[in-house]
Amino acid sequence: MKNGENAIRFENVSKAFGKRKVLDGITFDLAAGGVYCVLGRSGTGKSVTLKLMIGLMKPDRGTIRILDREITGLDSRELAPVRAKVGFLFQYAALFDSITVGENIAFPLRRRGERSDEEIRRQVEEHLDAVGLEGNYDKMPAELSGGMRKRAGLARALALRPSILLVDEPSSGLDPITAKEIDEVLMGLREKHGATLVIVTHHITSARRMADEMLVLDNGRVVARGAPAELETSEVELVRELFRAEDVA
Amino acid sequence: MTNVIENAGRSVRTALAGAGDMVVFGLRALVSAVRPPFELVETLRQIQLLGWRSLSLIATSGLAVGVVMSMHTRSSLERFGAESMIPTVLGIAMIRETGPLVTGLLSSGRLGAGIGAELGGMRVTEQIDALESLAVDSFKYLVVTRVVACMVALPLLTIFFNVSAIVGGWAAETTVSGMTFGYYYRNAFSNIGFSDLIPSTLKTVVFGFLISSISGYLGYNASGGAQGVGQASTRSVVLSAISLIVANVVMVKFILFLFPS
Repeated sequence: MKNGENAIRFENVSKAFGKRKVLDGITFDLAAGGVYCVLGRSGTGKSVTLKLMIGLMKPDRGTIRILDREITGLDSRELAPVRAKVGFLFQYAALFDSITVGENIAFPLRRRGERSDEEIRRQVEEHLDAVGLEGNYDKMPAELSGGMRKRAGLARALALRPSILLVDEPSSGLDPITAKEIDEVLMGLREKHGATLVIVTHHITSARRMADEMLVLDNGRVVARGAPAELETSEVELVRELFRAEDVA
Repeated sequence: MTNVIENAGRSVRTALAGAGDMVVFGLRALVSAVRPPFELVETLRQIQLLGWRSLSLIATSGLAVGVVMSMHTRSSLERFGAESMIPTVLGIAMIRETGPLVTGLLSSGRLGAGIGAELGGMRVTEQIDALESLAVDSFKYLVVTRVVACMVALPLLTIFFNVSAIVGGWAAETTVSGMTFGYYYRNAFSNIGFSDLIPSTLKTVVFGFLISSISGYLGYNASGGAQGVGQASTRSVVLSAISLIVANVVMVKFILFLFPS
């Protein structure tokens, strides 16, 4: 997919949990190669939006296209080729806790079954180096700090060299210095792999550092969208509050 | 009063819906088990984890049950001067009913709790979502492999339990009467036929299916953090044990219908 073409398209997508409507007819598209940060208050559907993008949740209404393929009605098996091109870094990394860090990263490579054990080991070491976790192949996930887990989760998400990387709250639960390091790792990987990045975050500082464009969600809708510099002068109250909150912090 | 009836009605409706979902979940696992791709490596790993690692529990329990059964049988039969029948009675009781049922109940505790807690833990920490995001069919990889592993492991564990119980029974008997193992062994199996051994051992395939599909369902659909995992684990044991006991009654009736002797 060439830069500038649509990597992700949401059209009139709605999602509710019981009587609570989280997304209400949301429509947007994200061009390939860009870095997009999704912001908003807690419970406004940011993480739900990410999970819809990879088919972990189904919308109640509307259509979702990922890399030119409509995924709305696909089952797990039909989604597999799309998911192989999309990496997902979960909020708490979601490492498989019964296997080592190295085996976590090797897992998607082994599943694809294309490489020998030596080649897989070499690839895993490379991915560990790229996220600053060299020498941690044989550690168990429980032995890692929060920041290291995020890095390991990132290495696993990138193992199949995805075209799109979805990142859920990369800096949550981390101190500002580690959060900045994770942002830098993400930006470095973006430079290296050229993937489309969609990052859900509460931290406007991180968003300003990384985003080509920001999308602000409120009441199930996109209430503002634009480059960080454009949104600084936004008339939307929530956006102004977000930027004010950063000034106070 | 109306509220009480409404609440009771709601509870019954929820329980029936849950039972229906569980049945569909189990049947889906059976259908998926015979459809490619087959997760052979993971299935073998689960047989090793669920079966092999239960052996010490099954062996110890079998020995203990064999000793106790032998002591009870002796105290009953010696009143009639029929001590020589002890191995035969113990063999029939063990192979026809006690072995399969006790193995099933022990496994509902050991395997049911394990599967419920493991899958529940994976669900609430998003590890199941992570599997899906890596283009892995989590149902097939986590549930179907465990269902197949339990269906294979239970009959093998039952055979192991029966052997341990007969050895335990002999150990108890020989300390009292000095009966040789050869004599005990021959008599224990002298009245055991095809209809005693095969149907009762094979019914544990159904026990394996019930334990794994119920605990798999509860773990795979767990929610609510550590408390949810705890509930999934506890309910796995309780529901597996109840369903196993009920299924046993039905299957014994069916086996006696097919093999009336």
